[in-house]
Amino acid sequence: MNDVPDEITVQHDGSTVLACLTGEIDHSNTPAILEYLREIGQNRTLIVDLTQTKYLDSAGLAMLAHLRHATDLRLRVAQDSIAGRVLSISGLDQIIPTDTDRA
Amino acid sequence: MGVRMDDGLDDRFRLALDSILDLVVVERAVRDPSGRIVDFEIVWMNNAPVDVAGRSREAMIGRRISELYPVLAGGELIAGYRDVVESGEPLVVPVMPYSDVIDGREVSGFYAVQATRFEDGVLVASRDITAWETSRIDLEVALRELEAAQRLARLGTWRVDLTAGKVELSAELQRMFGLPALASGVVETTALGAMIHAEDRAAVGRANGRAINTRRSVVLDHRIVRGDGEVVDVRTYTEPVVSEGNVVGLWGTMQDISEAIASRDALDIEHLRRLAAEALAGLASSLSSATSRQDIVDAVFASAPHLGNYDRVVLALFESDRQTLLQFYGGARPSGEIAARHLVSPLDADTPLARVVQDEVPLFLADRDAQTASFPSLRADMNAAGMESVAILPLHRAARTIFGALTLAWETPRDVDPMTRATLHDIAAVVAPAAERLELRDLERSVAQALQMGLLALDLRSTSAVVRARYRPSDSGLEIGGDWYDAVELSDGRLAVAVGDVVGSGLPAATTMGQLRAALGITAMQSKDAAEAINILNDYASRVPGAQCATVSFAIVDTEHRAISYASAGHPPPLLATPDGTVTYLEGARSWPLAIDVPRDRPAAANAELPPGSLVLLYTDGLIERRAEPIDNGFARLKRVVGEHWNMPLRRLKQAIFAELVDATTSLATDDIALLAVRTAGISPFLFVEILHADPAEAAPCRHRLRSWLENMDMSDEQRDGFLVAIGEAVANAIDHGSKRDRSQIIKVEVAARRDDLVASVSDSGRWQPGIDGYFTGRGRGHLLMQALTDDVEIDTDHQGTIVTLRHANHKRSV
Repeated sequence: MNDVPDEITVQHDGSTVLACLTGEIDHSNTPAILEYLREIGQNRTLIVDLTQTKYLDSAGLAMLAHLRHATDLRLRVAQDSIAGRVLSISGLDQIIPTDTDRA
Repeated sequence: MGVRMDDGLDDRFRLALDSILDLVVVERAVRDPSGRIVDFEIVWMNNAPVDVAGRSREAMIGRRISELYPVLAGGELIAGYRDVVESGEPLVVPVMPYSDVIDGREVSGFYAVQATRFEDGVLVASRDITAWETSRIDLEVALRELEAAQRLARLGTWRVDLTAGKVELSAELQRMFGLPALASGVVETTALGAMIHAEDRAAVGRANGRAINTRRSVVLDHRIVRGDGEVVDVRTYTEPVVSEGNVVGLWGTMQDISEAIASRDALDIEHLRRLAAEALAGLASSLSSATSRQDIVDAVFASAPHLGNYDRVVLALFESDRQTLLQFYGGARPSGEIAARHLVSPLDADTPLARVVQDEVPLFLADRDAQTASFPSLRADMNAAGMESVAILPLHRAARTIFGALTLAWETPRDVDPMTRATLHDIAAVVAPAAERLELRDLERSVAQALQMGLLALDLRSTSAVVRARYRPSDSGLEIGGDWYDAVELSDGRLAVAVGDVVGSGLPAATTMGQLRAALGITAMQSKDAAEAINILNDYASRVPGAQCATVSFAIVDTEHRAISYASAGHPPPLLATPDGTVTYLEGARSWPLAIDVPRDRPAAANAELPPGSLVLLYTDGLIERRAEPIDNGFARLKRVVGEHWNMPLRRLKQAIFAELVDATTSLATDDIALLAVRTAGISPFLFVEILHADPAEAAPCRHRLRSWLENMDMSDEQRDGFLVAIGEAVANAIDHGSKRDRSQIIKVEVAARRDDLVASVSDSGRWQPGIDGYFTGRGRGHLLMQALTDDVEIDTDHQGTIVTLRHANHKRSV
């Protein structure tokens, strides 16, 4: 298994794995994050927690769209956060099950 | 660069000139022992296939005009060239008939010739206008024949000016009415009305009313009473003259039918043919003054009432790639969707148009059924377009190559009989030379601009300053001028920038300009300061023909020491805007123009402080000088406009300067203009400027600095996060698409905090085609995010790269 990218903290709970993305997700780090999440999400339910994410751009959206085909993907976002808005603008929150934390 | 060959031409000029269809010849004066010019010798010529006897350029270079064209020996043209050399005044011969015997063969044709002084000789551009001139002569002959035919057929034409109450009668008609021959042929309408047979006056009045109300032609047989009392049976055709939607007159023909009533059908055809001939002559004359493709289709459409009553005109011309046709519409335009689909039509699709330009034969489709039977896949578009009969005629250049097609269409089915076909061919025959003339004009223009762009390309990879420049030729058209700019990064990271102006215009000025520009570029690298560079350039300029009185403004921008060193030789002073918004002219170190004899030393270079985020503008006098106004007005105007827009991204600043200093102050720019703007990188309260390498790893640190700068702005956290993502998308696009992740490419990020909004621009040096299938389709989501997270998105591509400009409104700057 690859090294854990700096931006990710992971918790396992049975067949579910929770990956919390902190910091900024842009096209300089999405290739590494995608590869890592795809590996830990294999044959499991993968919850990607974006509540701590400070920056998410279209490269991040493309990564989540790819990940959806590789694993049983769910997302957590904070209401009114940049990640939440970007997901909702792209419509990706309509096709990936997304829980919104209300502040 | 600037290497002087025997023919005095730069390599790139030679290459560019070779792509022009016209013949361009450099000729050197040949003098007799007394120094008098007796002949000219061809030094160089381009590869245009225009020689009258079809000789190759290898066979012509090095030979004299008198031996190449025997009939010209000792003649007016050589005398004219001599005058050009001696006076410097260009020679223009719009139509030169030429016939000669070359190698035992008779040759002849018509040429348009222009000669300008070039070195010790002339630069001659000539064009074969034989086809155009021949058709013009044919037309004149046809009109003379028409007059003769009128006499034979006892048929005359008339024209009523409704506003003036006058009637103009042709010579034959004056004879028919038994009027004494009038010089003008103009009589009062009332006087003519009295000569209509009393019992027929009401019918004639009704017929005229019908022609005015329906705007269609009306035919009426009636009687007139000649001056000598004789009653004559006539047939009158009446046509309304429509101008800007109003009927302003009537015109038509009147024929004595008392002897010829039996040949009714022949008469109708004859009449229509004459109407068509006259309308065609009118069309040819309005086409000769057309300055755009739209003018051409408008003129063809306006001629419809007399030339086939078509309801729509479409002119389709090859784009320069020769793969697509660009279309221009006369009359009702097709609906938006159809127009969008066919405005640019590819040749590989099976459309009627593509078929005509490929087969080079006309296509006539009698009605909708014929259209859809021949082109079933286009059924929906054809039904939506609402046209029944369609005629498509290929358009050929004088050299017989195809370059487009003319479509005429009718809303009602129409039998395209042989006579109509002949008329349609005639229309195509007058449209083709008009369209070709515009094609040549555009080609010359684009060649001249390509030359200028080649000479003025900036390839700066400096990360210490953003540089943008613009050259705008004068509105006089084809000329390339002597204004220039340059920016060179020196080995120690300093940046040398210059703007200059060479006396004169055209190719000679551009050649001199290229030499000075190259010389200054090299000089800059070896000089300790701006004044020394100007001195070295001055020494060089005094040895370059044509460089006398050239002016230049030169500056060395040192971002590390936050300083600028500058000097101007006869040139308007640079303008400086520091990041507190203060705007001042840099008026030090001014001296006289280059290469003139002044027995004094030029002043030492002047220096000024240059805090990060400063703006320096160099420009030529065309930007500020206006006729009939003191030049101080121009200086004040430039200072005011820069004061208002100083922190805007450079592209916007440049647009504002040209809009307010050029477009708003003059309808016709008589001088060319060069403008160069430099902005040093740095962060100041109202301006954020950073220059990155095209490396994804540089995006995040830049974003962090931008975030802290934005934290001083009056905006919510959400707005700030959104604006950052939008700018980040633009940066990511510039790295991936604009620079193809080539780290040596640079990306410029400029953000201005203005009173009511924030304006950010992200630019790269990428070259791609704008258009629907362009830049952003690969990152559709990125474009969507920019749109959703800002108030305005603008994407522009020009020869210097692509710029994305993003605006966040409702920001309040805390001052």
